[in-house]
Amino acid sequence: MSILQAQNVHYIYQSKYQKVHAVKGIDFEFEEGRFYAIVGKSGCGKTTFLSLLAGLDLPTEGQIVYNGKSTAEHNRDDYRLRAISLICQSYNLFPLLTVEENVAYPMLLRGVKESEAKHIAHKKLKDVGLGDTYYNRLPAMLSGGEQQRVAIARALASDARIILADEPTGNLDTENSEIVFSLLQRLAHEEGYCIIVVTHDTAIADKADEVLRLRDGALIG
Amino acid sequence: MKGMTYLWRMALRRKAACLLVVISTAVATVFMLFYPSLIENTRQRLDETYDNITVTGSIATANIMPAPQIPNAVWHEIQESGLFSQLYGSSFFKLYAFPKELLEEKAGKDASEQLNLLAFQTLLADENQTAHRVKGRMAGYNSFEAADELLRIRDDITWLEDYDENCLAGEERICIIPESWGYELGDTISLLSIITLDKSEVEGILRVKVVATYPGKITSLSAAMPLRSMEQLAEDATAAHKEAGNHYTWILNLEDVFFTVKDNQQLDEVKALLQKLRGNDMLSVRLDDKTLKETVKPIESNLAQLEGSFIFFFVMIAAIGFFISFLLARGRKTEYAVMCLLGESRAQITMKALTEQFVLCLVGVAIGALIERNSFDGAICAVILLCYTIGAAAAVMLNVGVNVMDILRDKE
Ligand SMILES: Nc1ncnc2c1ncn2[C@@H]1O[C@H](COP(=O)(O)OP(=O)(O)OP(=O)(O)O)[C@@H](O)[C@H]1O
Ligand SMILES: [Mg+2]
Repeated sequence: MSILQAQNVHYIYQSKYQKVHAVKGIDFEFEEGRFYAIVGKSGCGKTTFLSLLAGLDLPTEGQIVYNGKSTAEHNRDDYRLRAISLICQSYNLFPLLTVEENVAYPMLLRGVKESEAKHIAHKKLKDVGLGDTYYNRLPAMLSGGEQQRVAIARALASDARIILADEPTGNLDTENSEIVFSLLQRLAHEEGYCIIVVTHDTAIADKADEVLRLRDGALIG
Repeated sequence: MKGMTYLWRMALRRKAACLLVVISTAVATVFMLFYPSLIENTRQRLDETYDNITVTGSIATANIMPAPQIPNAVWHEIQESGLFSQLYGSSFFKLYAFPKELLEEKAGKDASEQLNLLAFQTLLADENQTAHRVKGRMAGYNSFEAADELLRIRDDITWLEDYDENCLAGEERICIIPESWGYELGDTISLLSIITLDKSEVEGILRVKVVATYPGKITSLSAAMPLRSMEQLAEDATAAHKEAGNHYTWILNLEDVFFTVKDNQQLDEVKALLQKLRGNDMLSVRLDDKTLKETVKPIESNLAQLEGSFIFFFVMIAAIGFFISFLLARGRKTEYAVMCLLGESRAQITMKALTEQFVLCLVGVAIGALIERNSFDGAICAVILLCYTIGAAAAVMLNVGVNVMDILRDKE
C-alpha cells in the first residue's frame, strides 16, 4: 500500500523578477519496499519535487500526503525528523562530529540516550559496511562514498521508513556509486524502506523498480 | 535542549573560533571596565582642581564717593545666598573726636548727649582747638581680617581684658581707637559722627566703649567697630530721628565687600547672583576666576574627549562583537543546514546557537571582569554580553533564514 502520495503537485518559484513554474501537476504514489528513481534533464524540477516530498516547503497547489495526512497538516520540522530521511549530494554530515556521533545525533533529537544511540549507530554503520575503525573519524577523513554511506547509516538509524536522496552519487566514482546504490536497493527490498532517488546516472536508474521521468516539471512516464 | 551536548562537542573542536569569542569578549570587557575608571579619574582630578583653587572677588563702589554706596540689601543677599565661605564687609562714616580732657573740660564728665553735642560744636568753632581736633573715619568691619590696616598692626594692639580680635564679628557697641586720642581701655568715648543722607550731612553723638588701642597713626583708618553694631546704630538712629519728627532714614550702605566662593562648582550661580546684584553701574564687581578657568579648561576638554570617545569605542566594540559573531555563525552554515535537514526547526537551531554563543561570551566576560575586578560594573558586563549575543542572534537568524529549499541545491 502507498506510504507517500503526490496529488496534483504544482510548485511555483515566485521571485521579484519572474515566476518559475518548476513542478506541474505531478500525481504519483510511492510504496514501501520499492526503489524509485527520478530522472530528467537538468532544470526539469527533480530537486524541487524532492524538496516538496521532504517537506522543506509546501506545494503551491495540490498536496503531499503521508500516512493519510497532508504535509500541510503535519508539523514539517517533525515530519523531517520522524517521517523521512534526506540524503543529498553534499551538506550531509556535521564536519566536526565523528562518524558515530553523526549517526547518533538525530537519535538524540528524538530523546534517545547517548549510550543507546551509539550502540544503534554502530549496528547501522556495520549495515552499510563501515567497521569500528571508522567510528571516531571526522567526515573529512573519509572518502566521498564512505561519507555518503555514513549518511545512509544515519537515515537507517531513524524511525523513518522513507529515504529521499538527491543525487547521492553525484560526487562519487562508478565503483562507489555502485556500492551506495546496491546498498539502497538492498534496503528497499530486504528491509522494506521506500527509497526515492534523484539521479542523472541512467545505469543506476535502470536498476530502479520504477522510474519517474520528468520533463519541464511534468511527469512523462 | 536535545542534542546540545553534541553541539558543545562541536564547539570545543572549533578551538580557534571559541577562543576568538572568549578572548574578544574578555578584551572588550577589560577595556569597557577600565575605560570608565579613566573617565572617573579625570573627573576626580577636575573636582580636586575645583576644590583646591580659591576664587575670590569683590564688590566695590565704581567711583570714589564721599559715602559708602553698596546697598545694605546687597550685603544681606550675599550673606544669605550661602554661596560664599568667607565674606568681609566694610563701611564707614566720618567723625570728629577731641582728646578726653578737652571734651570733659567743656561738657563735664559723663555728660548727656545734648551737652556733648554742644561741646563739640563749641570746640569745632574755636579756631584755637583745631590742632587738637581729630577728623577721621569710623570704619565698620564684620571681621578682623576684613581690614588690611588692622592686620598690619595686629601685634601692636592692646586689648581690654576679655576682648580680642573676634569682637568685630559681634554686635557690641565697642571700638578700637588710636592711643593718641587719650582714652583709656574701658572708657566710653563720645564722638561726633557725620552721616551723609541724600547729599545732606547729619550730625549726631555716638558713644562707644574703647576695647582696644593702637600706637601711632593710620591715615585711612581712625577707629574701627563691628559692622553689625554699626548697622544697629543706623537702625537706632533712624528710629530716634523718626521720634523727633525728622524723616531721615539711615540705612548703612557698605563700602567694600570681599568674598571667597565656597564651592567652585557653583560658579555659575555666583555669577548669576553677582550679575543680578550689580544692578546699576554704580557698583564694580570683580570675580577672580581666571586661574580656575585656565587650570580647569584642559582637564574639562580632556574629560569631554574621553566621554565622547567612550560612545565611539562602545559602538566599535559592539560592532566588532556583532561581526565576530556574524562571521562565526556564517562559517557554520553547513551545520545549520544539516540540523535543518535532520528536522530541527529554525527556532530550535537559533536557540542552540544562541545558548552556545551566550555561554562562550559569558566565559569571556567573566575572565575580563576577573582581570579588571577592581572596577567591576555589572551593567557594563551585561551590555557587552548582550551586544555579542545579539550579534550572534542576528547572524544565526540570517544564516538559518535562507530558504530551506536551497539546502538541497547548494552544492558547495
Ligand atoms: N529559487 C528559485 N527561484 C526561481 N527559480 C528557481 C529557483 N530554484 C530553481 N528554480 C528553477 O526551477 C526549475 C527546477 O529546478 P530544480 O533545481 O528542481 O531542477 P533539477 O531538475 O533538480 O535540475 P538539476 O538536475 O540541474 O539539479 C529550474 O528551471 C530552475 O531554474
Ligand atoms: Mg537538482
